[in-house]
Amino acid sequence: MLLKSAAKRIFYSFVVLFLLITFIFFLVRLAPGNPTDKYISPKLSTELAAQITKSFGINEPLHIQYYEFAKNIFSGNLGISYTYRTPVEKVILQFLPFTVMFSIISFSLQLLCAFIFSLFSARRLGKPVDKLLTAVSLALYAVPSFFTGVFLIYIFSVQLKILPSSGISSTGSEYFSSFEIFFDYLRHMILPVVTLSLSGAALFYKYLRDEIETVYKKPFVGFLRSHGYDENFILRKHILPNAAGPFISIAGVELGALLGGAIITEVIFGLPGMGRLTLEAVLSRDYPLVIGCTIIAGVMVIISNFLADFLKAILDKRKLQEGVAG
Amino acid sequence: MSIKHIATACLLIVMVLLPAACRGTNNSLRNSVVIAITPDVESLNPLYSFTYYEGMISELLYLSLVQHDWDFEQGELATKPMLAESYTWSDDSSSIKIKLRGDVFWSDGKRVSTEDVVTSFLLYSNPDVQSRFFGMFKNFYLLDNLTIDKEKTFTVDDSLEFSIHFKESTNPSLVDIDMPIIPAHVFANIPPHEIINKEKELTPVTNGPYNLSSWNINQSIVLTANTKCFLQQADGIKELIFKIVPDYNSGLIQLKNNEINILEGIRPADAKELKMSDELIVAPIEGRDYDYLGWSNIDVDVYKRSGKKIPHKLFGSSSVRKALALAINRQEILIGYFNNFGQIASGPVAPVFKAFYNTSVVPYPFNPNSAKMLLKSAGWVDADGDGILEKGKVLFSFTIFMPAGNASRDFASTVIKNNLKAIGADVKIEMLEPGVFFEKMFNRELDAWIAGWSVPIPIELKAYWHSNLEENQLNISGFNNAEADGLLEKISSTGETQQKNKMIEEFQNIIHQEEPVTFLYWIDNITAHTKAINGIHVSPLGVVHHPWNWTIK
Repeated sequence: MLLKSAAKRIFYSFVVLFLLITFIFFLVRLAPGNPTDKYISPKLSTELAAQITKSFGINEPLHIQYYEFAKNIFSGNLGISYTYRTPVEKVILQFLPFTVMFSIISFSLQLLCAFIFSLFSARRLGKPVDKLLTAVSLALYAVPSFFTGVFLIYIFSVQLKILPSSGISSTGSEYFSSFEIFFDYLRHMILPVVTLSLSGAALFYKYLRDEIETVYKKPFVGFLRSHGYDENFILRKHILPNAAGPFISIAGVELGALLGGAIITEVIFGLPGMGRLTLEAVLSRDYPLVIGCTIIAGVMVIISNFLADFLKAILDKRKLQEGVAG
Repeated sequence: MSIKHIATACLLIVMVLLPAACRGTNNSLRNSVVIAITPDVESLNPLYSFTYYEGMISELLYLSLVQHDWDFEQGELATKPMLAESYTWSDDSSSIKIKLRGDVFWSDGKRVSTEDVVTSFLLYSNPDVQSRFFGMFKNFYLLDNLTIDKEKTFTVDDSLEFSIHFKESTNPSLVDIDMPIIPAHVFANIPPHEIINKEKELTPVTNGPYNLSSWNINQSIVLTANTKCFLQQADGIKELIFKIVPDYNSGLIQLKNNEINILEGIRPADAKELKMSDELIVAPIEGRDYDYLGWSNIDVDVYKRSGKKIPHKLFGSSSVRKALALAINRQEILIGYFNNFGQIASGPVAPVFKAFYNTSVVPYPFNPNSAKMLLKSAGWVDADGDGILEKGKVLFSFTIFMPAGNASRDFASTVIKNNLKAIGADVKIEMLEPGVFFEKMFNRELDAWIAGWSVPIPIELKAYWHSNLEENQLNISGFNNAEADGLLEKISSTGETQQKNKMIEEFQNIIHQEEPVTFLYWIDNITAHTKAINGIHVSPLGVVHHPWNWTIK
């Protein structure tokens, strides 16, 4: 039952992914803009633009381009990036590891903060400190990350001068020892991770705290209390598992979005991630690379949601019996 | 796990990170210079170095036959040998005999020879290679596919001496042979059509004053001095680090924190503050970039349908275009946004080109009354008293398009809109995503637009202003003047002489009379660099020019 549901879910995910990239294929080609515009310049000849148009294959009718594209996709060939002039998968592999690591660190930090502060609030529901935390979380969620990033740079890079404002390594880091390289890397990651995590942590906190409050109001909690169960036991064994479902769903969506790239944070801090790569691909109309980035983002969202559903099923045995697809 | 345990874990993490956080962040300028560049480069191979930064870096890795300096007095390029030890033109200037230096070696140890030069020219001109120079060898003998005809063009005497013969009835110059030389032994065995996809896999074999030490995608490019190169000095800079900083504000902070030493493209509003710094020198590069307000001179629909060039219903008359120039207060934009880092433009020739810049052409002054009179003489009057001019049933109403994301043009567009409204024009401003804007502009789908051009060195005019619109795609406004065409053709086929300079001056007169577009202003490229670097001469050729002559104080 479970395996069959999982297989069905994976099959539908691939269908959705293929439809998504087909949609993106037509969208980027039908949208105004042309990848060869950058080759029109007084320093370049008109013959060059014509030659490059021919080599990109964009002078072919759209249905022929799509036929070639679909044929290549099913043989695992994403094409050659117009910008990098290397296979798309090679370009993505240069950027993806950083994004995966950056996202997972940020995601873990968001979960950790949300968990700590939600538990803290759970024991003080309705009290001033709980209200204060709720207000602060709303404020943090509302602040856009470009503002947070610039503010943190101003404090820690400009005023205090203790953290770097850009990049993932210091000038001359190639002469550092392994230990120094590791800490240099950590030092560069502090501000971007905090910038990326603040609003997510605030969102997770709000969700988890509100779910905990909702579960606390359910009759079975009063029943347990009336039978003399310890508050910690009720929280750990009954409140948190019941509150976790919606929280895990939203966490799955957030993880997928993070793994697709964090454009603003990557641009502000000059980080080599998928978000910046996708943005540059779109702006330069690098069609194969746009499709490649879309596939990665789509796969990440699908995997994250699949994991979230799986986790929910483990926590709630009823869902396990229904199958992962729910 | 209790909250206390988690809090303890967090505290431990902070304690581990804090010492690391307290390490210094400054670049201490230990015989290395950090230069900020905005986007990462796509290729450092001269075949494919299309962008400004790619050209700048690849020319530090690969030598050309000649090198250029900027002659401030004459306001033109001063060219001297580089990889060529000497050169001699034939009496009729139809061929040039070149002797290469014997002391230049590729980074893999092979000596640079005539074979490298010949192969470079053949590869640059081969259509299958798709190099940045393809189609640019008009003065050479060419095969049908535009590749240079090797037999007719080159006479090789030995491994260091050769001659290049140019096509009859052309006026070749040193510019024709100014391109980085690439190693023949690396590219000879790769089919030309495969080079474009294989060049990234090749280990760079270079011959320039710097070697490529490392290239971290979207992070930095490190070049180390090639001490064997004849250009390098004993006390020269040992390392150039090109740091990719995509965000302008981040670049500014790093400049102030001494994390980077050279930053270009500083906004005028920030230049004032940077000038106060004891550690920085702020130097504007006198502008070769200008912004303009483009007007379609011809009815594009008719042109696309029939190829006929009939005047545009609004902007087809030079009187109207002059009136529009008179109506716009360019000084207000120059002071208000650029803090006077620039100057009002009167035509497409930058004042830095002193040798042929026509000083007698004065920009149209801001004079709304004269503008109104000119419009009236062209038949544009406000007959119904609604504040908008009309000519018969045609309203003087139009939309000015501009690419989004350019703060100076945002500022300018507000001034322009208000100025034009004051003379009776109904103007709307519409911003488009840059990719969309440029496609529409190149397809001649816009009647009025704000854009900019960067004037190349050596100057190119025909591509922008000749009326053969099929061959000259950059004549977006469809400017159409027989006298100007004649001059442009003569300029293209005349060598670098006084006569050519006179013709360029005359061309500026015609442009001023016709005012095909409203030339707004020349924009200075404001640069800042650390005072500790000696030998930087900011010129129209850029700030990173001949860095092998720099030293650290």
